[in-house]
Amino acid sequence: MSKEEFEFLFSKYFEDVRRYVFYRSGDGDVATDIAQDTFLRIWEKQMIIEMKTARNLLFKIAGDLYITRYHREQLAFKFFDTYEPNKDNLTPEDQLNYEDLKNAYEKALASMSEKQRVVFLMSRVDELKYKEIAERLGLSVKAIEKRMSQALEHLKKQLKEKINHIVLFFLGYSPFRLTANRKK
Amino acid sequence: MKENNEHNDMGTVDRHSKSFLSNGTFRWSKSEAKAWSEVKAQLKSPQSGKIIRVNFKMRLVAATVIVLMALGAFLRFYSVTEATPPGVHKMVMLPDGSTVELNAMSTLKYHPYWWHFKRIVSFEGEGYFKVERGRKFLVQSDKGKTQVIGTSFNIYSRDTAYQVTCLTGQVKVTSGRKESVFLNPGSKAEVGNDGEIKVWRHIETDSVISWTKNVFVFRKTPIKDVFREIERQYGITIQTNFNSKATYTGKFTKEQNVEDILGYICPAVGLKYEKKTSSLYIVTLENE
Repeated sequence: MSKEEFEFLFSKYFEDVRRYVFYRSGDGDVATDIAQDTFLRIWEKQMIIEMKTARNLLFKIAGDLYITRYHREQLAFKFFDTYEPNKDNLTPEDQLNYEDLKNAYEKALASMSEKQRVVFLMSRVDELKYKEIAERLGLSVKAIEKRMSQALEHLKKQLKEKINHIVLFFLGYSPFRLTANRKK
Repeated sequence: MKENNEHNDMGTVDRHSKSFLSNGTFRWSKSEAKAWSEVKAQLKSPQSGKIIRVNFKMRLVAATVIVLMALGAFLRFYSVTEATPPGVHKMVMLPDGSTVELNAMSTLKYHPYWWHFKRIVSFEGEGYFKVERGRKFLVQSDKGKTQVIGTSFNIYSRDTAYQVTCLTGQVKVTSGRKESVFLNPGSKAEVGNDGEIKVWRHIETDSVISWTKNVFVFRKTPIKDVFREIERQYGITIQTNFNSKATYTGKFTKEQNVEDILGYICPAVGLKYEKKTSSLYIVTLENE
């Protein structure tokens, strides 16, 4: 692998790898460290990397590094230290309750299983389609759909109180629309 | 209606999480550019290992080890060379009290500070060894080596010849091709050019070491070898412009001068000599 190839891979995939680890760990600094080490590793080992499978491979290495280094430690999940929601998207009422909501989401994400969380955040934050998520994680679209609906189920339970008044708020005008939960 | 509510709940969570989580901003403590520059800095030295912090104690240990190793190497490899010029005999005392009497034009090399661990000498020429009892004593020459425990013996290692005569004790002689024999007192071994060892037993050993008393004894010795010995003992040059397979049996002592010796050796084998300078003699056939 030449330095140019390496730099190309880095600029193309560093952010993806970092986010992937961030979604798993909920710790921005850990994510940065792991992502850097992932790239150093493919350089040191001079791995032969095909562009087609590069991202999958990088995710795999990053995941392994993360597990060997941090799995035993209970990392504090602090998603919103690194990620700041866009307040402009929110309804006036949500803006009022912003801190409250943020804490509720933080707790809900922290207690979600890692597998569901990665899928969920890729869908919400990165706004990827299920097919794209499936490609990146090397899973089937079906598996993504399943994890996604589990994640939403979990979120619903966790956010119940916070969301009840939202439900009332929405009931008035939101039409019957389902995107994720087709099973029910 | 209840089911509808459930559906609505799910839809609400779905929508709400979309609006709450999308289009936000990542506030990494390291920008991608910074992360890249850090990674790049580590690429330049891919072989550089981990930096080991060495504390004072470790430095001291390392320094001591290095000094000891240097000292060890010095003790191991420091050598003394004793060499005799033509016409001179010399007695060399080795660290354990063993002695070597060197005949003229002989060289002996040994490691004085390593002597306690290994008694080993390199040797060319002729010498009479008296070895104190102790560890294995090894004499290495070009064409063979002689191994002893404690004994006395004479080695003659010149030009193509390698002869060892054992006077007391027992010695082991090994040739270049790894053949070896044990010699008891009164035995003599000769290593041929092909590495084969010939042994004579019950020889008269006094004449072999008579050179240590400045008496030179020859028994059926090729005449040219006799002249070489005279050259060595008197530090002169003798040109031998003839072909002769004659041998000489007899002896001379160093008290005699060169002309006296040549005067009685040459006629005995049909040769004559001519003195050119005090250190150059020419020997030719008598009838030329």
